[in-house]
Amino acid sequence: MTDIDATRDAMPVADKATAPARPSPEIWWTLGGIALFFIVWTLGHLVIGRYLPPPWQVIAAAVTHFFDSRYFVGLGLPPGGYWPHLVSTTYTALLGCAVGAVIGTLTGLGSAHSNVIHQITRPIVAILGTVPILVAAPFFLIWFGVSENSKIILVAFYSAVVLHLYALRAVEHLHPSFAESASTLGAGPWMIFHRVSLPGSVPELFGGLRAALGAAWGLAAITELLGTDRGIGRVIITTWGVQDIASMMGGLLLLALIAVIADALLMLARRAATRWMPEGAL
Amino acid sequence: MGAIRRLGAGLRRDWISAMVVIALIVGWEIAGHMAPRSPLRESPIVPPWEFIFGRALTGLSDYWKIEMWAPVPQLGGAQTLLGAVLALVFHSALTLFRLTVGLVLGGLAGVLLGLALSWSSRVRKLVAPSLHLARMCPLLAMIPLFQFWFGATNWAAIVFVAYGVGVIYLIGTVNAVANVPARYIENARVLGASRLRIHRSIILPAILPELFSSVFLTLGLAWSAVIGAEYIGVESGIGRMVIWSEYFSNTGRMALITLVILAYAMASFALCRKLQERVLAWTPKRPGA
Amino acid sequence: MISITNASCVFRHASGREVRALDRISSTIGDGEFVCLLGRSGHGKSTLLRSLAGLNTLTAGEIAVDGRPVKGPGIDRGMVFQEDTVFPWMTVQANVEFGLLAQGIPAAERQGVAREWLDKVGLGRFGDSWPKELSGGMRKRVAIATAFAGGAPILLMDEPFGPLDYVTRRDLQNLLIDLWRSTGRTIIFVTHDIEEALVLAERALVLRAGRIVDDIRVDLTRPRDEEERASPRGIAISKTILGHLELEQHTPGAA
Ligand SMILES: Nc1ncnc2c1ncn2[C@@H]1O[C@H](COP(=O)(O)OP(=O)(O)OP(=O)(O)O)[C@@H](O)[C@H]1O
Ligand SMILES: [Mg+2]
Repeated sequence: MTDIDATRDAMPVADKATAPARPSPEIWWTLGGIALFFIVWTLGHLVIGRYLPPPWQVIAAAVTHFFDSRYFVGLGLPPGGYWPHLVSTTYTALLGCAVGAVIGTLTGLGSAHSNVIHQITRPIVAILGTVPILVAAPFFLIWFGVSENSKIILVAFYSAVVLHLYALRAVEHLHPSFAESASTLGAGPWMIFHRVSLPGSVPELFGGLRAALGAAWGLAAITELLGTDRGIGRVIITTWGVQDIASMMGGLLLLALIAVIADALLMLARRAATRWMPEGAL
Repeated sequence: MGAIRRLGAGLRRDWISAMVVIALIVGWEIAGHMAPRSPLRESPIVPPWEFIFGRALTGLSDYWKIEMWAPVPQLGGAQTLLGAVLALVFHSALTLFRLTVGLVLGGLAGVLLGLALSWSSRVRKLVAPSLHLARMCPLLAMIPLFQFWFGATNWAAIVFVAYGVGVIYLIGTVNAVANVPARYIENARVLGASRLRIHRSIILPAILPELFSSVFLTLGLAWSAVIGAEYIGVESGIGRMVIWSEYFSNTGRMALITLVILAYAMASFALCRKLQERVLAWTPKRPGA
Repeated sequence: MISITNASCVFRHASGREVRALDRISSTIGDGEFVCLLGRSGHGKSTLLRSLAGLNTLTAGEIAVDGRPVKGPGIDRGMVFQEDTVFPWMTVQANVEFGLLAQGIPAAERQGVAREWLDKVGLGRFGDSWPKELSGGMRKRVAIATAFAGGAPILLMDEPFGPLDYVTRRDLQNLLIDLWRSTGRTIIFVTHDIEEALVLAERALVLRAGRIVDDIRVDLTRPRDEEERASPRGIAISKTILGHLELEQHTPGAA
């Protein structure tokens, strides 16, 4: 057997990466789409009037109050404009999501492997998975105080449930012969767990992470609406109180922007982590 | 008889789960007796079960505000069990109404708009950034905006739920249409079908299973949305009862209402599953699904 | 040496129906033999092979390797599956190394052995590729290299070449024969293709309804090319096997 034999049945290699980069028309469609978004928004303003401030007003509010704002201080917000609040909410969402994701992934993969873990976690997940996590928020505020911690714990709980369900499903979707093949090669349970189940479920885990992170921003913000003195939710509710709709939408827009960026980074990470995936499998 | 036997078999198989549930219930009760009781608070931090189904339950009659059938504690009337049940039923009905109407309106609007936007692939590409932003914009943080537009009314809650659900269906529809294998459409076009006909006879049936996969997602989302809307704005509904209780750190009532919401949510998910099974009975099971 | 004594396996389906997939099978397979398991679909080939691998527990009887009863998978028995089990999330090289990694062999040695086996199956230049970048036939080569590199003296193969085209199949059959001859391992190879059995096997066990109905010595000379298979002895063997497979009147696996 020589090399030539093997290359004969080699597939034509699709080398997208090495192809010369041509300016793709896709980017024009995206730019056009963004323009359309602002046009429709402006038209909406012209029709509705004061209740929907035009994009430039909202952007102006977001920019002028970004780092420092006497106006915000006048409203009773801590000094420093949007910035410290954005940082606080981002911290809550990311940390909560990360902690929950690790726990949920471990319990999910664990219950796919062991019936005991499955039976222990099932009723807990059934309860936490069906009760809208928001209902639990006031409990957290009472138990852990109106603090950063209760927000983080809330987000972590939600993310853990989501990742648990995704991890469980990921292993179910993984063909059992992968694990069997590993075991005939001498792999023990731990080896199968971390060399087969874990990497094999990475694509679906990223799906779960995306869902959890997407919801984390809103969860963090609404706990801030309920209490705590920091966070973009606080800005939103405060500016809402004085009917300053432009500043309110400014906060919302900034939060959405961060969410979009975080999501894009997550997708980049997914692409890097799933280079082995056949095209079009996800 | 059969039900009892099935329960017995289930318990024998899943006895660990049963033990966990019992442990949770018992653990809660023990924690309730161990946890510190603040003299300022009417309710212990972890309310024991007898407290939840005793004082907390009758306490719910505080939220009965109509001078009919039961005394109104707000006007100096006594707390009664009847009042508590009436309050629960009244506010539950409001919440369930908002949830259902929001789900239906949002679902319909989302699918129809999604089909319209899928008319051509150019339109689809053009609206993609807006849709992405709509999906990424944190829903729960938008509640004040809806309050501002629609006031603290039933409609604000309904439109909010409908918006949250609608965005999911809209994006789901657009994606599903994009995923319909091109050969179906080409085949139909070769056979001389008009665009409308293709939309009706090929695209719509082809995307149905994928759309139904969004049902559970949107149901969970709708619950969050309606509770959130009642937390922040609308001064009624079962979510508002949680906030009223929280205002006085009345954990007993909060726990009770949480249990009620849990029961509703479980029932709604079960109903949804039944519905899905019936509607999708004709589709072949996807491998691995 | 593998000894199978009175091996039976009964599956209970969800419908409550019992299926006797293996029915009191007894046989011995010596070291270095190349045995083909033949039989029609659903007649217990995979079940027997999986029982040998330790992936399936017998309901009665025993399988022993060198006197030790089989309790579960072990590194003395490697397996090539019918499905594509090359791990898509590992490079080709890492796939071939996997068995050695599981046995705790140090990295340097692992890499050397894996590279050697990749060379032997003709994939020397593809160590750093992802499995998705290989064709189905190349992935089968990876699976074979992985099984051999694991070092198991007994290799179990469940219709590994089933989905491949004719020419690729012949290529891989020749490769397998070469590897078998040069390593002297025991190979038990499931197939439903009589021609494949004639090309590969020293011995053919024919399974019907969970029983071994014939044990044929395939005493043709190698290479087993078209002429050799068309020799009177070759034709006689294939007629015998065909007879067993075609004269099928029972419902498969019925207890
Ligand atoms: N895990 C299982 N559970 C229940 N029944 C099984 C299971 N595995 C196999 N069987 C039954 O055992 C019988 C033999 O199956 P087996 O997979 O061994 O057939 P086979 O000869 O390998 O067929 P094929 O050529 O199609 O792969 C079949 O009737 C099948 O229904
Ligand atoms: Mg088989």
